[in-house]
Amino acid sequence: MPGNTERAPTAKAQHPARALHGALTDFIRIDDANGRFEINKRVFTDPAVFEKERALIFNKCWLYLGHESEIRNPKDFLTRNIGGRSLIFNRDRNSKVHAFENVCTHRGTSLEVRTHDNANVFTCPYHGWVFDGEGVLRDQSSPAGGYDEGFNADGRYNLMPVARLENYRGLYFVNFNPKAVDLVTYLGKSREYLDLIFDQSEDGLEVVGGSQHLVNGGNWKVLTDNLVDAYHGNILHSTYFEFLTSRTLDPKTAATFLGFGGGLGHGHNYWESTFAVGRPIAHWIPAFGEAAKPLIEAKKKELMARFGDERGERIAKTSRNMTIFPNMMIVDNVSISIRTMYPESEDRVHMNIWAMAPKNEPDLLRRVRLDNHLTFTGPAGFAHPDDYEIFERMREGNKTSTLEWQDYSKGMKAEEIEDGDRRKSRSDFLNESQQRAWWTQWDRIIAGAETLEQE
Amino acid sequence: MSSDAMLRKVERFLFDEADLLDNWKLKEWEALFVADGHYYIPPLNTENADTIEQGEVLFLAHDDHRMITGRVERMLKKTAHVESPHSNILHMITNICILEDDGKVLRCRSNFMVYRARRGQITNYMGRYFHTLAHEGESFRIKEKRACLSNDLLQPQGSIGIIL
Repeated sequence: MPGNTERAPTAKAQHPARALHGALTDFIRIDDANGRFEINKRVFTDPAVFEKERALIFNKCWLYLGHESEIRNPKDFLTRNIGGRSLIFNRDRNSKVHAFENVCTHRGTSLEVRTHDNANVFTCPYHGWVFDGEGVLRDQSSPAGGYDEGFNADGRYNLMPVARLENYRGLYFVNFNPKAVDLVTYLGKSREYLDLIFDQSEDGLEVVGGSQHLVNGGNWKVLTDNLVDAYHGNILHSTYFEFLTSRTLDPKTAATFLGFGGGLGHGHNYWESTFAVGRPIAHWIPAFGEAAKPLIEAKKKELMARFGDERGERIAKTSRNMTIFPNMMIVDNVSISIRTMYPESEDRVHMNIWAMAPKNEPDLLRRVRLDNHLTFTGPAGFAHPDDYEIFERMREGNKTSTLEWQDYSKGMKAEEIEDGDRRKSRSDFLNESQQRAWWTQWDRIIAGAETLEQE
Repeated sequence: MSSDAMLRKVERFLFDEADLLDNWKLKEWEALFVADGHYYIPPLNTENADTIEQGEVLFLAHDDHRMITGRVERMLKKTAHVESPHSNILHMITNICILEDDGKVLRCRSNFMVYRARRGQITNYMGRYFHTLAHEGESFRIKEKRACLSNDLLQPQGSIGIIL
């Protein structure tokens, strides 16, 4: 690994003087004096743990639903499985955005089977109950009558809206707990990193059609872990980095890993690095082609003019991966993509990958962006299939082995920790501070110490 | 050449191509492409998958010749873990149909079923190929190979680590 000690934060004499919390559940073992952080494998294999996660994490945390650009026009809708529930995400005729449970309120039939479309109403095929875009029951197709005039006077037969639906910069999240803290409070410091991504275009970002949707036999937490795990990058993905050196200006830059990783509070985490994968936003590499060069340079000038040198340079040149706890990730390196990992069980997870791009992006840049995305990302990329293979192998290994504890200690003694809160940590991005920040929140929620509710 | 003879010639070419893939002779497969050849996998559940362009939507694979070379080099390495050791693969091709042929370039459609056996699991990839072939002597070279999947979800394996 190339040396980057001069950039790594220095270890502060805070262990064990600063009182850090130990683990609250039996699933995690923390030994600050010796710098050990270990996770019991049952969190990946035990159905009872998954049931707890369903109740305490997926029913209480803000969960990513979709981006406003995916339901651009009035009456657009899409259906998505979020945290174990099928939801309709739609824009009504007046452009108001809603999220309903995708179920007919008559007999509980799954209402809409299309993944997306534009529709005036949602009609249940069984008895013909019809709901409009605001979720209001309009008709029960009952030729012989049989219903009182005031049958739905209190609206009890309207579609069931999710308890909470809020957005930040066009990213819509739901929360099934009516008492949950508001989304902006929940996102906290992670907004700084979201802004670095969403500031890339004055016109805003949009989701490109054609999502990459796959099912994997790993535990969902293995997938969320993997995305902020920079340690495995050029080890598991050596074939990708060998390919990358043939694409970049300076092969040495491609292999230079400098950066930080850690926690942003509330379990959100990130890494940020200067490694040169080529960024369609404002960092040209030869593989993008000469024709793209002036367009990318113009984009960079625009960023500098809008944000000044320091922030402009940071947006243009540094790559970042981040997680909004528990399972929404944004990757801003070879391209911008949003990912979610929604589990069906402890050993079956759906991963969705959506590419994002600036609205009104020139066709050439859009193609360059998506081509760059595919070098690394997705089911047929040069890196992802190896990750998916590892997730399956971890399930196989954990199922049969007697190994009980898994190690997450890398760099534990070298990290800076704010306010004595392990969820606000920072160290070299090749360490595992980011994962420890996430697991600390997981531990606190499973132990019941975090309600995620308004005071 | 009669249309039946041309159909047999196309069939021979597609079967030979499949044979190279099934036997992991990927360098030889790469050599079937013209210098600016392309290999595409459009996204699942897409109308007009045979004509849609990357940019309108995000593809699963959108390889120019440099990406094809990179893909082949990668897949022949032991460090391409998803296919190391190589899976057993079988490409079945049927329903071949010539769509256009101007004597220089021929476009054909076929149905495929690709089976991949690995560690006791069998993954199926089903769909339609659209090949754009340049006539070259007694055979063809590939200008564009487009594998349009009919699977509506990638499971259980989740990936397309092999070449379809």
